[in-house]
Amino acid sequence: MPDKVRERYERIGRRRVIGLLGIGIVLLAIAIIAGIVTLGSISEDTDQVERVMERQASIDSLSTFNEQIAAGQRGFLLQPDPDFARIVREASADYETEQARLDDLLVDGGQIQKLEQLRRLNAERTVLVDAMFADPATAFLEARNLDFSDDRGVLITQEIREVARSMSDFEAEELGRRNQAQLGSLVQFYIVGGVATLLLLGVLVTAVLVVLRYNRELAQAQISLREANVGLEEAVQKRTGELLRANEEIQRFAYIVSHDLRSPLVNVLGFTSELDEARKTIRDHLTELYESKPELRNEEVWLAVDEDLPEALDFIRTSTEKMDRLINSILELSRQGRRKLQPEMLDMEALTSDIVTSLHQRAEDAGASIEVKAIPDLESDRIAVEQILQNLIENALKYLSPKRAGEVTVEGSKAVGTVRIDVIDNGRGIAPEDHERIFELFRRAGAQDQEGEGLGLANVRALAYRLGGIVEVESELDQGSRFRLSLPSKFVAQEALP
Amino acid sequence: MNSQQTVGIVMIEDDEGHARLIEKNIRRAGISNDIKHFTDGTTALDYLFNDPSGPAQNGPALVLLDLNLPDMSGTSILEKIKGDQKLHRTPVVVLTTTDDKVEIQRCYDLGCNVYITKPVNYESFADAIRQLGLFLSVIQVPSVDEQ
Repeated sequence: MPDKVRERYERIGRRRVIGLLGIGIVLLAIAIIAGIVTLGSISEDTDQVERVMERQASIDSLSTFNEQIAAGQRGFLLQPDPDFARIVREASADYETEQARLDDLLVDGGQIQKLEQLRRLNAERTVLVDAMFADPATAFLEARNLDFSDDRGVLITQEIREVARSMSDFEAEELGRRNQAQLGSLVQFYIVGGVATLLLLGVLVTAVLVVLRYNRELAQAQISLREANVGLEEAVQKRTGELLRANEEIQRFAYIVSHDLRSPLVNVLGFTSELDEARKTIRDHLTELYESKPELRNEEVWLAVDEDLPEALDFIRTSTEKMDRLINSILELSRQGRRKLQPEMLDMEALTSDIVTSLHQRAEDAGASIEVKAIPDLESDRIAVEQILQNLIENALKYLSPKRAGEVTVEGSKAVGTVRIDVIDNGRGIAPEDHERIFELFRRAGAQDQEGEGLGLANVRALAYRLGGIVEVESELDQGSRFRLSLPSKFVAQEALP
Repeated sequence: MNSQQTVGIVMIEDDEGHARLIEKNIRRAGISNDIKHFTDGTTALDYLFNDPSGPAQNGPALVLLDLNLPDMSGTSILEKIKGDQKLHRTPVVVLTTTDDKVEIQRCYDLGCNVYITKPVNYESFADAIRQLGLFLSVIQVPSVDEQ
């Protein structure tokens, strides 16, 4: 029953803890997933931003190279220095490289079209530049006469500038968008993280509250348990005291009753004897009388004196003597019950051997052997233990089976805090239905061919109880018996409370 | 035997049957001393201490005492006899059914001279009383005046 209650409480506690833990784990998982997702989107945004910036840088470089080409071209037209030609070539080569790089970087369709446009324009200009370098003189002339704003080369440069600016603007816008997205992701991250943290905190607080409440309940339970224990101890002590008092009262009652019953018995037996004496006198007188005067002989009177009276007196005497024995037994029991027990360390093997030695003659008469095996020592009242063992061994010798030689074994064993002493015989055994009966006062079992008042085992059991132990029997009819005496290895005296 | 003749036996015994059996057996043992029988403690004490023919006033006596009396405990009578200036040398034979060791010890402590347990078995009982009779025939009882 207490196990079930404990299980139920444990299950409730476990369910709470597991529930809270589950919530905590789910929240944590959500927070982690949210974090990973937001971090992913943030790093993606960052990536995008980086790429946008790269593209911007590339576009800027393109613009710069474009300007360099234009400047070199103009310089060459003003003064056909090979330096300018080199500048133009170098810038042109750089431009091409940059253009190829930008081509790789671009994703947006519009931008790619614009780059295509740039490529076309550049290709057209390259043709012009090549023509200029191939025939510088014509180029100079044309340049002198040409309206500057009509020059195809100038227009291309301008166009490239325009296209590059629009591309750059587009990328700037893209950058703005990406930055915005990055910010959004961050905000989202903070919100999710914050909410998860708050929820976790909530779970933590709840868990702490639950634990605190659990602790409080536990402390409360412990306090009430202690109170209950104290109450229980008091109740047990009170009850033990009452029992001991009641027991003492019974003992005292038994003592007084048995004692006071003996007084009238003295009279009954005494006057029965006196009656018998008187009868003998009468009988003697009648014998004399009948001898001297046979004609007076009355058979009825003679029978009364010679048979009826002695028979009646004999019944009175035997019954009274039996009554006296019973009363003496009760007296003996009550006397033992009143004796103060004095625990001492007992060498059980020596004690048992002494008993066996004292029973040597009886064992020989019964043709039985007694063997004493190892018995653990114990602390108890010597006289009581001796009486118990003496009684059990005597019984073993008394109720042997006529079919086989008697073998009695006394052996001991040890259990937790208990010493067990077994008296085992191969005697006539006890029927299972009599196992309880034999321990009752004045009750016996089996063939009534042995002397006894049915007192021994009652006494044994009473003594065993007084010593805080028990005595049990294991037996079957005609299969021998095993009487087991279990005593606490250390006897603690329990006296009545004042 | 002259000195014994003057010793009166005071029997304090509430059970008439016991008293009768004791008397019978004492007589059978050949003791013919005067036996005074009391069935309660009060009249017995009155006789012991105050009666002109009682032992306190007149002559030595021997007390047969039962411990279970209706009006008082035999031990308190024993105590009174042994505590009295005149009577404390009077032999007291406690003859009772109690064979409790503590009680026996207490009686001897109080100065009882002989303690006999009445056996229920009549043969033993008669035997004990007859032996007591023999004992009575040989003991010297001090006179109250010989203090």
